[in-house]
Amino acid sequence: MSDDGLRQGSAAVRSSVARTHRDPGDPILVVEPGRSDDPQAPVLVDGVPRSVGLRRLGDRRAVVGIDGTPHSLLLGPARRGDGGSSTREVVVDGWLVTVETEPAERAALRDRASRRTGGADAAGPLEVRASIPGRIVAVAVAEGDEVAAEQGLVVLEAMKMQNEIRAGRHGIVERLAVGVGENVEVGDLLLVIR
Amino acid sequence: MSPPFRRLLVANRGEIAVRIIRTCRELGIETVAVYSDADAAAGHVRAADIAVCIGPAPAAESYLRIDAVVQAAVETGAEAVHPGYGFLAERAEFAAAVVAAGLVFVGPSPDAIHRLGDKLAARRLAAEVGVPVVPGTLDPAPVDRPDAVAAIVAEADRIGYPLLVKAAAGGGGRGMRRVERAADLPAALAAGAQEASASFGDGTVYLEREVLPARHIEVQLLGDASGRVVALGERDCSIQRRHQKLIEEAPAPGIEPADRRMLHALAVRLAMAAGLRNAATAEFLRDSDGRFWFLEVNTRLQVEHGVTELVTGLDIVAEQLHLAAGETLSPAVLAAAERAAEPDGHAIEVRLSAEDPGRGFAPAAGTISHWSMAAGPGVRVDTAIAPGDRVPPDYDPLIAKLLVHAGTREAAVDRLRRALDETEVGGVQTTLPFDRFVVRHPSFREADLSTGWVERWWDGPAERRSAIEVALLVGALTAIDERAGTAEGTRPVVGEAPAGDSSDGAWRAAGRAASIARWPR
Repeated sequence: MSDDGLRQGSAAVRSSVARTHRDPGDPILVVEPGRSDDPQAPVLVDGVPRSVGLRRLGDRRAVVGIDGTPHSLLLGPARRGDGGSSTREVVVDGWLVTVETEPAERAALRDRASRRTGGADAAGPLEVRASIPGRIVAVAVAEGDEVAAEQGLVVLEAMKMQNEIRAGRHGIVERLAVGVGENVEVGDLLLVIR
Repeated sequence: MSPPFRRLLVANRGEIAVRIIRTCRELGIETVAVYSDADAAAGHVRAADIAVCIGPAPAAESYLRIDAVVQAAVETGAEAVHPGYGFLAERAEFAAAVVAAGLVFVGPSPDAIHRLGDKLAARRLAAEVGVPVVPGTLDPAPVDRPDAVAAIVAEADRIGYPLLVKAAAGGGGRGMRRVERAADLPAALAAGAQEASASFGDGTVYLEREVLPARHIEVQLLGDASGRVVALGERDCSIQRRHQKLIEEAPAPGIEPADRRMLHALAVRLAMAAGLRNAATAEFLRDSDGRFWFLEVNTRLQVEHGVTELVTGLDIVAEQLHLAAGETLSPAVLAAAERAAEPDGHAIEVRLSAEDPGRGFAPAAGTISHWSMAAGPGVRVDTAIAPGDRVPPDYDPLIAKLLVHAGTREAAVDRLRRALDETEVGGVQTTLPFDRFVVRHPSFREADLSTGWVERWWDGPAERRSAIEVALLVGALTAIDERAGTAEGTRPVVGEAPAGDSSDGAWRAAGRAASIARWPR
């Protein structure tokens, strides 16, 4: 294999797609490192060259300079998933972000697969889960009820504050998984809208 | 000097329990902690000499149980009970139960708590002694009573909108609802009453006009059994979100000494009329014309008492303990009260809470994986947290208070910026990004403070989004490196710090330099 082939091959393997574990509206980045033989080469972020310098300072800390602006970082340990994906906690300027990364080619495959089932996805059941741990203090709907988007479903009390969980879209309450007085943890199923 | 008590029970948890235990240790008082099942290994339990489990995680079944707390005090041989803030601190029946058990309650008398701690009774008392009160009702509002809707709507029309539904037993914004029009009033009354009932065990609510723009300024009071009450100065707590204080400072900037004296005198007059002993705080709003309006009295130690301690040099908890033991106001307290209108130095506190400032300060419980607090000259941190601790979802999200003290307000702001940059928390989202934003904002530096500050200046989602892009980029680069390993022909994207150099500041500069040097040309 020529030098060129090796570089191109490794760049493709090394490209990564990063997304957060939270809001669907959060950005997704495609990151490709610069040419392996050129220490001055910029990193391509969504195809745009950016100047990035990253230095680890021991196990947990790092400092990154992006286009001349430095940020202090905390890096959590990587939790490996399948297919080369991994998840880690990154704290930037006090913001805690759980970053999920996977190789670019795997992300592309997944995207194609989900696009094929995209129509079914939108009409399929929507599982409403707890985003914070707490106690259910009110349930405003019953199984079989029709709900509008943004309609209040349940009230979750956490840290003495009441948090109203609203419907992500219009539909019918197919299943109600919790009742008043129950304690829930992050990720627990609250109800299903079809 | 012999300690005021031999053994004291702290009827609280978290940072305030640890803060009280620290003073007790200095005074030679043994401490008893109480805890719920969720707090078996919590910081206040680790700090105390004796710890007693008083029930399961929900506060109503543990920290809010008067019988269980009093029983723990009696069984452990405690002579006194310090309630901290929140939980039972402002419940007159708790203070009465402590006294009935033959113990000393560290705080005002049950009678004074009832008269001042009940916001409605305090408003009536203030009006009687000529202290201007925020316009609103002086009697409980009816809740869930269709027959009374017309009357309360008429009352609300007289007060004027927007107005606030407030809990008579309240504090910290719990049970409070903002109402802009009559149609929303019945629902707001019901919701406020339910939250008040869950938080305080008392669902009484009332109405008050919303004063905007306003500064929140409060006066620290101490009183002794002889009936003497003094003011130790005031604090500005205007940086709030939905009536939850976020940043507090002492003294309140931009107030003339004559206005200070007048404000302190109003607070003392009210406290003396109520027969106040021990510690309390009188809260006022200052409107845009510079007029002070009485809000409420908190008959307990405040979260933000530390800024007054830094400016006056007093330990307010120690003074509370001596006063509770029947001593008169100490010479140090009287001297501080003399200087209260013309204080030296400036102190600022930020409340570090397990909340997400990018999502409307929603609670963010979890486990603290990394915890590194600021230190150095003029910095104080009050916390009960150690790495590995779980922040339970059952209680208030406050996990630490970061306080700074300096000769001038400007120097204190600089010191706070430095201290916030040193602060690192992993595992749980905190209000740290918000605090760093505030301390760098020109209007905060210029002391342009208002209870509407957060709403006006803070755009959480936008701030979070720019941080997310950095995090995603960093996450991707580290993942690329870890996948590639040290395979031949690949260059690590992530550099390792060479051995021997551990200076963070130097590396921050190096990161900037490396980044600038690699700017694409």
